[in-house]
Amino acid sequence: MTLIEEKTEDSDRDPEVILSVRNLRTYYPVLGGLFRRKIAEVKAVDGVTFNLYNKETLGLVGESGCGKTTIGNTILNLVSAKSGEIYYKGVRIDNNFTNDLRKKIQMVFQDPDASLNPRWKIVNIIGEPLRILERMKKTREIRKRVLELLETVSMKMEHLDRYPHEFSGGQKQRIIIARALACNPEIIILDEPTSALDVSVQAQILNLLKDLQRKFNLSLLFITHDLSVVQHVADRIAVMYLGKFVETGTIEEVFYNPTHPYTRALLSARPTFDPTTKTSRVILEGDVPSPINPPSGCPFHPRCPKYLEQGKSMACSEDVPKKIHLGGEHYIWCNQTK
Amino acid sequence: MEKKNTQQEIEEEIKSKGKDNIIKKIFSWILKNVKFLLIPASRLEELSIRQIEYEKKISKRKFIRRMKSTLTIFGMLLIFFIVTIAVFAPWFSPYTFDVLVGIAPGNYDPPSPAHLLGQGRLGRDILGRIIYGARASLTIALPSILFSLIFGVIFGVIAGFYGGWADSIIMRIMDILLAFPGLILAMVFIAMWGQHMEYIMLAYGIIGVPYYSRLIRSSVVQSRDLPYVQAAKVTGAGNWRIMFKHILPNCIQPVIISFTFDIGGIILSLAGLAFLGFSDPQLIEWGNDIADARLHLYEAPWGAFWPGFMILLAVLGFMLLGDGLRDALDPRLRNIYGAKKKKRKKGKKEENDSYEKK
Repeated sequence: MTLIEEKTEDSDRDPEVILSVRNLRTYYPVLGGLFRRKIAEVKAVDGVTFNLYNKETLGLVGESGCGKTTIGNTILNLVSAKSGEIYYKGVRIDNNFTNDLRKKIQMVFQDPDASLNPRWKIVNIIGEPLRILERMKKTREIRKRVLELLETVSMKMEHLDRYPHEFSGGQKQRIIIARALACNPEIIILDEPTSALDVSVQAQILNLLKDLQRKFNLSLLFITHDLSVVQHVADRIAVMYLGKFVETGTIEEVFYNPTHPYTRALLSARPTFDPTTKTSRVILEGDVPSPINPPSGCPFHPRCPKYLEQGKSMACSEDVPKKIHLGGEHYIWCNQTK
Repeated sequence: MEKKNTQQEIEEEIKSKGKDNIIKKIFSWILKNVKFLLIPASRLEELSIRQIEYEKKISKRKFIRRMKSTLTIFGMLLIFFIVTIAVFAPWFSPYTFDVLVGIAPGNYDPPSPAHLLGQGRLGRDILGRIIYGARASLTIALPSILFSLIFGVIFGVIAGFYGGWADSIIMRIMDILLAFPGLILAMVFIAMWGQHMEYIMLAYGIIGVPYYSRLIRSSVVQSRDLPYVQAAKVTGAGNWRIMFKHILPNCIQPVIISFTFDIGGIILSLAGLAFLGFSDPQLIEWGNDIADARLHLYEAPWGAFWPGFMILLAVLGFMLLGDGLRDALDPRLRNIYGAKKKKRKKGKKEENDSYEKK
């Protein structure tokens, strides 16, 4: 039961595609009962296919628990995929993740406080990938390179020998970005890099990321639940619901012409600047179903306003949603063809 | 921070910089710093507030500096004292070893000029015996604790990090070891191999392993899934590196504390062994002396008091050192220099930031 049968792009040949994910499924086992047997599976990512182009920013949006972070972790092999393929420049990487790949694909974590080892100095934290991946041995070399990296994220020499607790949240996030940049990566997976920061610092970090992207030709996979952040940084966007994509497209296509009912509801829930404009807010009923036992057919159908209004069609509750091309890069996964 | 007026001046400066040789630099540095070398604290006046704060922070970041609390130094001095008398026992002791294990007139006699702290069983000099006793107590207690510490930490970290089957197997073995009382195991070892020091040490070492491994396992399980461990995986760190360089330093605190507590316990359990008769009469040892003098507490309290006092000093020294070590190993603890500075830190930090922006 695959979600998408046909390959839309011939990704293996396309030089613009730097990272390609095909039919990715990542399930977490639920242990329980006597002897902690596997009694069920959380279908965190359930058949996801996308391409990350060179030098672009792909925003991955969705509510909590829909599997955004799991996609990032699966690409970096922190959790292993159940099925599906991941290609980096046409080479399959999900079954053979080497240290050379770690140089090229790096990650920035969500919580800047917890993702720096509190017992280590900054120079050691940023120097660790240099030591392991670049096999630098001399302390002076490492210090020099770490200083360069700190300067690219606009920090200073005196920060080298400090401990993480001596920094503010924004500075910590800069340090984490510097660590990710240490080995000249090509892809950085940003796992909600701004959600732990306040708004002014968010803007600084986002602008820093944009500058760095231009400077080092990075491709960014930007995982977030913050729609305004995504609108600010991303070129393309993919909306997720319960481990599956519901709509992908460029920022303009998705934000000005949201087609999938879920995307519409999500976008209408955004806070607006002008309180006088009356938005037709779509309010969804019910809660997100459990990913352990997702609804049959389209996972969104029990809450879908279209499904509930226009007579409960059998297609929604039984068939897997079809991928519909709306022109340009814009795709939705829906059974309501109208 | 003067602004350069013209482009030419800047160019000249760049040219002259290249010509600077090392001798000139050293000479100018000495000239510049003569004042600071001769007049104490004048250097601090010269520096800006931000630099003063920075230098203070640097000194706090150094490990040795962080050990600099009064109690820690006191603990170090105690340990130094005990180690010194252990190493140089023949020089400090008023009597030779043979006299101290021999028989002399004056069973439990009070202090006298010839025997400053009094005499113990069979007329042995107490001062000499507590000086020589430092040797046996330290050489038995420290290696056996180090044995249990090293193996306990290794097994605990492995069990906690890998989880699953490794965890089950290691922890069940530890549970089995927990079932042995230390004294009985030591007696079994003595019965099997005779009264050798190494086997007594080994017995107590083995008994300590499960305590340490349980302690460390619980902390490792907690910090195994923290984001900095994930981040270390992303930077390509191997499992051993993650276990012993990332997780272990963050979990070592309870182990250090129980390490310092256990030293006293081991010294005393040697006394228990001696009490049961499994002791070498040729061995001078504090616990043994206490056990002997216990019967004469009312007539001759000095017989038990002085060895007990030495055990107290040893345990106190290790506990104070352990406390200081624990504080120094945690860079987050900033209260080593008193709480006043902590309160003022916020204001200073703003100054720093405003300066940095220039």
